Amino acid sequence: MPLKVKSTTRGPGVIIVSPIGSIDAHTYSVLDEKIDEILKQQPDIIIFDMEFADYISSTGIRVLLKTKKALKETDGRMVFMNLQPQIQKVFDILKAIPTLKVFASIEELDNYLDVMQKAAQK
Amino acid sequence: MTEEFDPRKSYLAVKANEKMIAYVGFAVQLEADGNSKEGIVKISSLHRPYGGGYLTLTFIVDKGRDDILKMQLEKLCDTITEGSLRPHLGKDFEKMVKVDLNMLEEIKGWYIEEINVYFRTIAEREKVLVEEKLLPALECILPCKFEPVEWWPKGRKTELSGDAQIEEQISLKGLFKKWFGSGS
Repeated sequence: MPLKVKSTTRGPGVIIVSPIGSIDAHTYSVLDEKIDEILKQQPDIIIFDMEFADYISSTGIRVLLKTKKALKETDGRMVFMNLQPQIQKVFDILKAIPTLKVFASIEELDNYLDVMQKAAQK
Repeated sequence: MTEEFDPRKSYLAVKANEKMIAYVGFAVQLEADGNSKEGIVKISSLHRPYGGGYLTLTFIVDKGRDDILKMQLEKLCDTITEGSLRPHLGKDFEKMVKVDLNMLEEIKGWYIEEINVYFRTIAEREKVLVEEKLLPALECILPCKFEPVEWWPKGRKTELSGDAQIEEQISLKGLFKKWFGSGS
């Protein structure tokens, strides 16, 4: 299945990335290129909405690690929404992204962003 | 009163003290005709107070439903032993321990293999041990080629204030602990 990647801005410095399809050895570059574009904007938070990402390969995991590394270097953050159970399990066993944050819904994410913004204003 | 031993819980408790230090991509050749498969290795380390410690290499390959691929990968990983590593790692090498992650929880669609390589001295030597010893050793043992190692940045330059407090407020910390063994 081909991969499409949508990105939307959800506030200053907050970008939602929504991969649609399979992130595998043939398609990961689509996500990689999109992320490179987004990282140039130096976002504070990148949110991966994984609801329509039906498959992720080790090359896809690598893109996520690369993103996390780039954000860590600029004090940015990476969070996930609607992570598929199989991918959750991989992260669980690996603890591959130690500070990974996963939200089950947009409401939960909004609460997080709200608290973060209030904290930043103090 | 006896408490039931939970291997998964014990594993996560041990792993909570490890720190991810790097990751590296690799391609392993599966057949003589050049058929290869890409994967990724997460590299973590744990230092002991006496200066020794171990590096954990977690090999991750998406195998889908391909049982033949799984068998091929298992066969290859069986060749990683203390005996095959020792000639490449020198006198600092102590021992190697493999962890059967499938015993803890099978993750459908993924092949995951973990090895822990113990060294007598590890502090400040991880880069040399990984890039000049361990990965070249594995390239000699396995028909694989590693890409340049991506070293993980050492912590945030500036921590966001009250981060832990924020997480507590929205009650996600417990969830993170459950998933990752640690909330930070």
